[in-house]
Amino acid sequence: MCEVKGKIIISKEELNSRVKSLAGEISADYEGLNPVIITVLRGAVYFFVDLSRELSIPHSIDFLAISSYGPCPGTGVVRITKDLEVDIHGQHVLLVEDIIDTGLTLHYLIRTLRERGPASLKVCTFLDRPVQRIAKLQVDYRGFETDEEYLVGYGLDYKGKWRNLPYIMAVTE
Amino acid sequence: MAIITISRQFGSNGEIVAEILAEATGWLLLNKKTLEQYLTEHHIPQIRMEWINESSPHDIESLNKERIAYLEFLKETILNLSEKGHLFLLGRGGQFLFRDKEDAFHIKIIASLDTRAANIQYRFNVDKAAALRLINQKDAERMEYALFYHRGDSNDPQVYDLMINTSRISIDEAAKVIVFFLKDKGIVSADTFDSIVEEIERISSQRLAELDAVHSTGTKKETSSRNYVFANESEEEFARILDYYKIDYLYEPTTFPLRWDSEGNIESAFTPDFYFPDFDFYIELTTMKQELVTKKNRKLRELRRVYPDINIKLFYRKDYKKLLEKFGISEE
Repeated sequence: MCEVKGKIIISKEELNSRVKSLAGEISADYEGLNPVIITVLRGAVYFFVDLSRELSIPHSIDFLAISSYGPCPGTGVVRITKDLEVDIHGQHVLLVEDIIDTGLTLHYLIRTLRERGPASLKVCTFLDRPVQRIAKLQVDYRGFETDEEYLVGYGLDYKGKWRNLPYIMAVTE
Repeated sequence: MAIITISRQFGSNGEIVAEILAEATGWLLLNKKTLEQYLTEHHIPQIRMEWINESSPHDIESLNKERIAYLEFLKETILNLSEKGHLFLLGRGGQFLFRDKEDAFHIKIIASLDTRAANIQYRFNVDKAAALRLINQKDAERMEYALFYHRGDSNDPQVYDLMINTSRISIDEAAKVIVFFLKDKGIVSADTFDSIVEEIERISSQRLAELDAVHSTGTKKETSSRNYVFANESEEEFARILDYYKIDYLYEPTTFPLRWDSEGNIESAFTPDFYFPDFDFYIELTTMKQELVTKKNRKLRELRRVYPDINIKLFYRKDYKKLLEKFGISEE
């Protein structure tokens, strides 16, 4: 199935089991709170959907997308390219990410969402790679911590592809 | 002629008092710099130059002979210089070297720990914890120096003729008290007393204005906008990424002194590239090749030793390259 070379660091079984245990923790913490679970397009949708399916509590979901810094960004700044449909004011919000790296994107998102006055705002990430962290953030739920440089699978792409691999692989080539 | 020794606690501004006095009286000031200059001109071996810096010795026993030779040499040098006129000797254990000399007067400048810490914070732009650590370090070094070379206790008040607390009186008042004392001892003549006091007032206000100017330049940097001039392309690109994600940062806002000489002059310092006030965190960006970063790593270790509470991360060339790759940018 896979043309990209590397070493599987989180197998499909480990991954599924961790998603289940995270969902268990979150379900217990949000009991009776009817949270809104939000994710950022695109990579995190794989984890997001799996997590949502495993939650035992009622919750709503929503998506947003933001622009990212590119080779020729001019003098622009980050902006939301697809906003939330729901009003999160007074709601308990859980922001779900696939990986937190520098923390730059997430820092912006947290600041933006906080301005909308949610009752609470927590962060859940499948992977946490703190070695290159610039923006210090509180991570409330984390699947795995890693310091591998190039990762692919379970939503993470390699050269725009292989997001659909059912495991996490550290790319060696 | 008279030798006026001035001992000072680190951070008490004793050096400044001595400098003002020397300038106002026109007498020679022997401090680390002028002694080094003299020793260089007279081709004195290097080891003695190191001793001038009031560092504590490493191998005590084997250095004992050298110690006696050093003291004799130092004493002789200073006595020779004093034949030409009155002089101020800052530190170097002068209170012990000339404890029996009839026309030698020994002054000690002290200050409360709070004042000393505040002076260090102001002078070097460091936080209170760092200032207190530096004070502890310098106090220990000076105590060891006095103990080893002079077999004396620099904290013993009996050693001094006059002790001045700069927590209670200002620098110019301290200098004036000393001149008054010297007049009383017949060292400063009644004819010149008034003009020296006037000079002290003039020099002190000038020194204070200079200090304020240096300090306000330092703080101005922190409040200015993003119109920074970056040292290289990589720093500029990094700043653009931060701007894009609306991350607040300051460029090179703080210089951390790492090593001081006995006069409190900075011998080595480190200025991290970026500071993130929201995260209380520094990043030093290095685009040098990995094999060339040894010196920077050493400085970073030193920084962490002197300022253990500082959060700093070194972004190596490879880290930075990866960061750029994430944003689809390839390094030129």
